[in-house]
Amino acid sequence: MQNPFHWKHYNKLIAVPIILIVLSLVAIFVYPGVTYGLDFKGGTLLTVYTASTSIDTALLKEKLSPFSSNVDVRQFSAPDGGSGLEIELGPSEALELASVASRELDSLKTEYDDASLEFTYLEANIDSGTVTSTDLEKAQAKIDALGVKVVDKSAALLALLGDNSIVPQKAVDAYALAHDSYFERQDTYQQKVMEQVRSIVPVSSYSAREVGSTLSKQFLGKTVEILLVSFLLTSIVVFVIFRSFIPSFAVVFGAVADIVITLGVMTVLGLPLTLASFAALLMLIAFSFETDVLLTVRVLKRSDGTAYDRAFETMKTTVMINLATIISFSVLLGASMLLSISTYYQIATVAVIGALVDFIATWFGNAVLVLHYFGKK
Amino acid sequence: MAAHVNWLRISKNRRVQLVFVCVVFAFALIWLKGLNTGIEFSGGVRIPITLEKSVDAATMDSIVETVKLRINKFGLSQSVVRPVGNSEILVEIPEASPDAIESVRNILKQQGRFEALIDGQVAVSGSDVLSGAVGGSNQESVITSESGDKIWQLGFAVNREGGERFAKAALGKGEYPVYMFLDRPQNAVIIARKSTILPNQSLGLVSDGVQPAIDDVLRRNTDSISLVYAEDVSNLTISQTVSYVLIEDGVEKDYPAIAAAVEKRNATVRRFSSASIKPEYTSVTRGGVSTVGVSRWEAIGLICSPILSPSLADGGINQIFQVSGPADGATAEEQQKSALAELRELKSVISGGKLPVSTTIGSSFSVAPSLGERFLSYSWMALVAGVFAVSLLIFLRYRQAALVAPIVVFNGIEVLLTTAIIGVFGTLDLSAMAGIIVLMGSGVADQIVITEELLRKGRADEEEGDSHDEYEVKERIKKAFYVIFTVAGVVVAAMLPLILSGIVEIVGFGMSTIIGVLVGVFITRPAYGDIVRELFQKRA
Repeated sequence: MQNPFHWKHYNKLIAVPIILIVLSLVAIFVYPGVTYGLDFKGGTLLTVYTASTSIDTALLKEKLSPFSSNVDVRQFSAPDGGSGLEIELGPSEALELASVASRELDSLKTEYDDASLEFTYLEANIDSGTVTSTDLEKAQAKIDALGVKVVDKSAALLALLGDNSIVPQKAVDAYALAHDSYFERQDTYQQKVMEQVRSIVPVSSYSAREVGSTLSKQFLGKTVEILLVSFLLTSIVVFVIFRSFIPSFAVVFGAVADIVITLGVMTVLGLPLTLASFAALLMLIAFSFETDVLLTVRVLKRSDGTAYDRAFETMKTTVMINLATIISFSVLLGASMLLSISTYYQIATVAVIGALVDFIATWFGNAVLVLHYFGKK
Repeated sequence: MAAHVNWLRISKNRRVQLVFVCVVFAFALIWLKGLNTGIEFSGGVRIPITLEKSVDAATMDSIVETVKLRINKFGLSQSVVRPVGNSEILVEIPEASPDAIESVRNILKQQGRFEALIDGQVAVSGSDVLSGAVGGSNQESVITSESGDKIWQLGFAVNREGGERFAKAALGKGEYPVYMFLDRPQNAVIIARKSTILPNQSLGLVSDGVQPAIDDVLRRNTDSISLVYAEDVSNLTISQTVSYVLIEDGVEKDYPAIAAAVEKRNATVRRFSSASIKPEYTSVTRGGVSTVGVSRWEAIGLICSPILSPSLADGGINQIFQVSGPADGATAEEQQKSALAELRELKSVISGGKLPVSTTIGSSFSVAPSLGERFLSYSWMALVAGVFAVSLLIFLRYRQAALVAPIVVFNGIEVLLTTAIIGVFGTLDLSAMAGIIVLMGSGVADQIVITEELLRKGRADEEEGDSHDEYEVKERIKKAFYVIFTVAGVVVAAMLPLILSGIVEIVGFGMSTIIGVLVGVFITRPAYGDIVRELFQKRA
């Protein structure tokens, strides 16, 4: 094979990763946008195993439609001859509204309790002369006003839940009723969904994963934070090791290109971003650094042959590395598809795509920058 | 590749010896302690509780204790409650039935129900207690009595109604025990062996007072808890009004009549080990006479039973109360510690098991045990298949069995060591397993770097007609390690934020990646480097 780096226009190749990055950014942020998995959009994922192989998924979907406007049912065949179903329900709109109301009610109740407490202490000290009866009246008025608010809010929450119980006039009782009703609704949600599933499919075993909408927002915020910190730390490590700007920049560029393009490909293919695939994306930083560092070190810190020869030699090594990665993850991918272990599936797809993208990022991006830098030096 | 590899020299190599020792050690650890597998593999449910804000170690302890206290009453004593970082707690219940899972979710979501009973009458109910007025700056303390023993004191306030209720219940009941319950089961029946419930004679308690004391604890004016001694049963019917059956493990097996009765009455059954269904007794003096009291009975939620001060039994209305008790322990230090622990516990009980910060229930995850086992065995299969596929690739590329063998063996050792470290000292869950499988790929990548470096050298030498001198080979390996160390540093830097995030779904992945890389860099790859160096030097 010819050494491609002897081609005089090889440095124009950097356009390839740059164009891909731009396209990926468009895909991620403009259209079609990242498909968020369960972890980031909230909802319930039920994985149901059954001995039966003929399942009316359309009917099941219809039966589950009252629970959420967003129901997805996927069927796969389990390795033991039966079949499995992945049922994904979007967050329940009714419960989301109720959860907001419940939090508001909780903070009102705390205010009410504090007011009662203040009153008790005032009352206990009335004999000491430091507390006047006007103080007591004021405190009582405050309790009454907050009590009315608590009762109103409890009534509102019960109405949201479609609970027709008579709302007690005492704040403490109204709160207790609304609070219990809300939690009971939340608890029975999954049971009721499973009841519907059981009415159609003879369930032999199932696993369930539930992510609340508050939590999913937290996850999203945290992952962005992790990604930034991770990049910062790795960049520092790289700069400390190379101690010069352009090679370090080239290496970091390779890693950024790898992650952005991989996420872009995932977006275009409609693969969901979950916690597991996010972890795999982070791991790509490591994979991509391995090839980039190898190239940079060999080109800049060796003297045998020409820089182009060394780059070409390194290319052969990294092809091996990328191949090893692709093969080990393809095995994982195959296994996960066969067994429907979604964590493995998500990690493996990201890793395989990432290893392919890494080739482009390293050889059309990093290599061009490093060789250019070497030539100037 | 020459046939005469100096295995003796290899076996004397320190780095190779280190690997050998580590492998033996790993096997011993796995054999002795076994691997802790996560919920995904052992089956069960995992419920993360996220705290609203970070808390200090002492607060975290008290939160974990409170959650444990409440969960254990459900007969789920094998459950694990552990903190993750400083703002999350994980509750894991192995092989739990759907009922148990629901109860846990319930107790975590709902406030507990505090109740204080005097002579079967409700003296304080949880809704009477003013939240925010339990303990606090000068309402909780540990004091040293004249005799030098430590005594803890806790004050709390109730609303007006609570004060009235207490005055009524306490009237004329001076020196009666006040039974403080958290989540006392309603309409419950306890079925246990007499030998388990009654105190051991060796305790030297006044035995004729025991049964009245037990009855006193169980009594409540509207719904008393009934107690059935398994030995006395010939034919048992559990009343239709019973909604909880608290039963000692093994009783159903030994007494078929009981098993049939429990089966027939479709109530919530909570199973307890003999140790956890047993009441704790104490000697009390009432009116100058020594008798027996029940001090604690976790199965029914009895946490403590202080004696009612006669000054509170005169019918006057009080809204601020003080509870105190002696601390356990021989030394002053032990007493101080136990007093603080009791104070914390009682505080959380009176607040209805309320946690000091507000919490959200995270994404719960449940797996049936049979499914978990399947996941685990498939994971091992995937791992083996991966090693096989990568070996095949390496063989196809280098066409030298002598090169492939060390790569595969060292890859296997790396996986073994990482699995042992994670599985014995941590938890091997799905994400940790995924990290280990990933490791296979990255470990091979490093070994390829080392091998290629040497092969490259070999080719260059052949062209130039040089011989392999030891210095050159050493240099090559050093250069390869420069790349490997750099990459290891980068991997640790990239994955560290993942571990610190405390997101339980991915912490394991970060952990196993970092541990795997460290094992590789410090243990296996140096030895691998020495072995291939040996191979290459002998080649010429």
